Amino acid sequence: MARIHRLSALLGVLTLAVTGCGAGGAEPGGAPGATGATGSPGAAREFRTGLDTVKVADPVRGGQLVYGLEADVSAGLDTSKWYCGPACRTIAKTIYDPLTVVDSGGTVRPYLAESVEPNADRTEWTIKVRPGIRFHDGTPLDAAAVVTNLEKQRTSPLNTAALAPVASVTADGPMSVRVKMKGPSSAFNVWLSTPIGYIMAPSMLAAKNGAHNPVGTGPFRFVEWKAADHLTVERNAEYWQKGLPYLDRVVFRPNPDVESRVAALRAGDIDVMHTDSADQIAKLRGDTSVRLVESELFGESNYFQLNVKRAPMNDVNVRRALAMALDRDAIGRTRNRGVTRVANGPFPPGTPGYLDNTGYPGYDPAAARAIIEKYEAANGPISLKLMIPQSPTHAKTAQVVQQMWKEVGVDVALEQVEFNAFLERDRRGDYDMTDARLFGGADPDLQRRWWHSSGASPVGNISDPQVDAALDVIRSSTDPAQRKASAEQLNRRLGDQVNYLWVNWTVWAVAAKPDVVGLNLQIPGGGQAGLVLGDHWLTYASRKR
Amino acid sequence: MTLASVMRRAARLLLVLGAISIVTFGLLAVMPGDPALALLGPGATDAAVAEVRASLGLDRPLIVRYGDWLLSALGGDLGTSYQTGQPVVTSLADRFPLSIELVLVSQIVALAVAVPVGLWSARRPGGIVDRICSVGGLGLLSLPMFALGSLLVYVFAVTLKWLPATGIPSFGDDPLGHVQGLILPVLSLAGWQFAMYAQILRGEARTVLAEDYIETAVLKGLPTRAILLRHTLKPASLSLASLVPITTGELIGGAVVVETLYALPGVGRLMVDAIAARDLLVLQGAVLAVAVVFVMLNLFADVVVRWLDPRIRSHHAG
Repeated sequence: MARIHRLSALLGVLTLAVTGCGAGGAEPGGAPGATGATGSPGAAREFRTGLDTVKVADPVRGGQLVYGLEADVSAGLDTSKWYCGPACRTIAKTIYDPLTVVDSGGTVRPYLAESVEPNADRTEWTIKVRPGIRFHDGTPLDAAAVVTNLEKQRTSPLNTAALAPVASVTADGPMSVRVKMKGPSSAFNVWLSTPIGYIMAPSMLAAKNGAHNPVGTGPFRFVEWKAADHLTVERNAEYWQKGLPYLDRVVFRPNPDVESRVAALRAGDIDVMHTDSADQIAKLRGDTSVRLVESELFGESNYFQLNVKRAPMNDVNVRRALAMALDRDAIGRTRNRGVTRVANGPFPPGTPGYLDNTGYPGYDPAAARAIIEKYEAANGPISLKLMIPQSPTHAKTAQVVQQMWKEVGVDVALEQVEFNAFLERDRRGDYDMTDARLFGGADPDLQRRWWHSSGASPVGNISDPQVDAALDVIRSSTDPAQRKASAEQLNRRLGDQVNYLWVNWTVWAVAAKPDVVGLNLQIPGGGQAGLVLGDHWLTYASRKR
Repeated sequence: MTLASVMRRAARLLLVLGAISIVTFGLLAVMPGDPALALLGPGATDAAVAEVRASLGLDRPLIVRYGDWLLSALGGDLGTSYQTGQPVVTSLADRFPLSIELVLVSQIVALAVAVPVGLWSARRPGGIVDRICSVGGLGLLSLPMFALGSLLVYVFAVTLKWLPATGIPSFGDDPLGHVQGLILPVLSLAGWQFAMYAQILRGEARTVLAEDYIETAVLKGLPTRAILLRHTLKPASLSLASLVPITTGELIGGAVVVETLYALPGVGRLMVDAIAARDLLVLQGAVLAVAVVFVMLNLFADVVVRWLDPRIRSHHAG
């Protein structure tokens, strides 16, 4: 499918060339280059090619877009304060600009920063601030503002793990920031593309209710928020990327129910929405009244997490048997309606560490049954519980795998738990197996906290010297080839140890009315921990005349 | 009602609310999950969770938290949302009006249709209106609210595109849009009510129509209209009248479903969101507010029934 994506991109470029739809998008200095393409006019589907800036064919200034989101931003938009999930990031990146972005090739590029450069041994990073930019409140963007932001992020309980390697952040001149690390840290610039690097106005960070009155340098400025109803942003006429954005206004409307969101799109209440539901994507693929863009770039893995500290999951052979019992092609074909591809590890195709073969066991029910019978003969029957969040999607998938495990002799009971309680039990390690979606992202260093034994987050539940060693090289090495080799080694280790039962890569899709152009850009998701890595497609979106 | 009985009822109301507040507080405290996790997202460290819990005051013993809350609640302050940082009272004031509007309009619509249909069905049992009404009514009664709602969305919003599938602009911004946005949610809520009211009224009205005085009225040559509206409706509506306030309480439950389905910013959705985020004080405040409404409605029902049935009135007065 990745090949198909590339091919479609080529076709798209050709279509553009043939139809003569010229490029009109702005290309800021140092920002991602423009190599993608919009689909042929009127095409019901487009394949996105990456996070690169796509030049919008014949953009129209003006108009508004109503964007249906899966959640409200009740806790506000201060990314240094609380977790910023996909809905929050979709809004936040219209108001703030990140210091860096990642392009579809995985290269980190400066964005709001003019440059982000390390010293030779990666123990120090220097961020040069792009000059001449003002926040929406008129105050200038300078080194002091960036220091205020990074300090706020660093001292927040939210980022204790992510920013642990930072020793100090200081202004080194009016437009230059020096970040000293506790040790070599070669991927710090990737972190600046996450919400940690979204730059907020110091006045907002100082204000008591700043989180609900966000101020940034972004393409749109915040207008108003009405709980559970809408959040409106309007065009920032003084945006530093001249001529952008094209739209006058974007209205975000929260609606937690995905079916209701699709109905709203079809009824014309909203102009655009996104989803990672394979069911809905399959349905929308057949809808010619909707423009659909899909991407699995930097996408998360969907998997079952095994509690390796509990019997019988502490036995690697049992874990392998559980893996060999799953016919993941069948799950993809039937449950996910052919939308998703089988995953074999935490690193999606196109990122360092991805391997066609990680050594993860394939479908082999006979071998699985043999292992289970042997284990049960010695230890008694296996009876497990699979904890899943309360949702029809999770339940349907769980029933399919439950049957597959039953066929090799493992009885698995399903336990549906409300989402917040699910998170709590997941954290406490109070489960046999869970259904989860995590990882992904452009750089393996972003995943360190899930696996490193010194990492404070207990979710990964791994304590493995080989994994630690690989993660340490990934963090400290200055040699990309060596980092890649270590990521591959890590991937193989996880495949061999079967700490996770990989199922499929997440596919994200943006669906819009046909007159919305400039869609094939940024897609929410791109890895857990809030990693929208590229620049925001809403900056370039416009409506057809 | 006398002043003394009003005072007695007011005292009872306070007792009920006090008991509800204790039960809710206790239940929410033992509910699994953690407000800090909703704020910190997946992968929060133990230290971070502890820090946030402390900042929300959740590290204090339950009894202290309740005492604190009760003291400020008596002063009219229901606490602050963990999520928005807004006073709970403000959130409730923002979100209640839409829910009340939904429930009231649904009741009015349900009654406005059920009364003529019920009376007419009773007048001509087995007639065309009666038959359509009992079959349709049974269908509506057995259809869950979300199913009816999804059906209405599919037909009127997605296919015909006459009405919006989700959302509602405020009346001040867009009066017509507001009314349009109200139609499908109201129909989803009112469908079940209508069916129940029509069935009950039909049954009662048939009993009344069999009374001697109705026959007298017919023999006197009174027009059907007058017989049905003047002489049948009032006695027949007794059970309906006592039912309406109670079903209003049920409609508040229905509002949770409908507000979620249609993405409306009412108090039902406030509660659903508060549960998901473990925004405990918001939930506590909303439950209490709904309880007040429910108790008041029951009080109101008593008054209406007394007014409709002189026997109850005199019995109590004596």
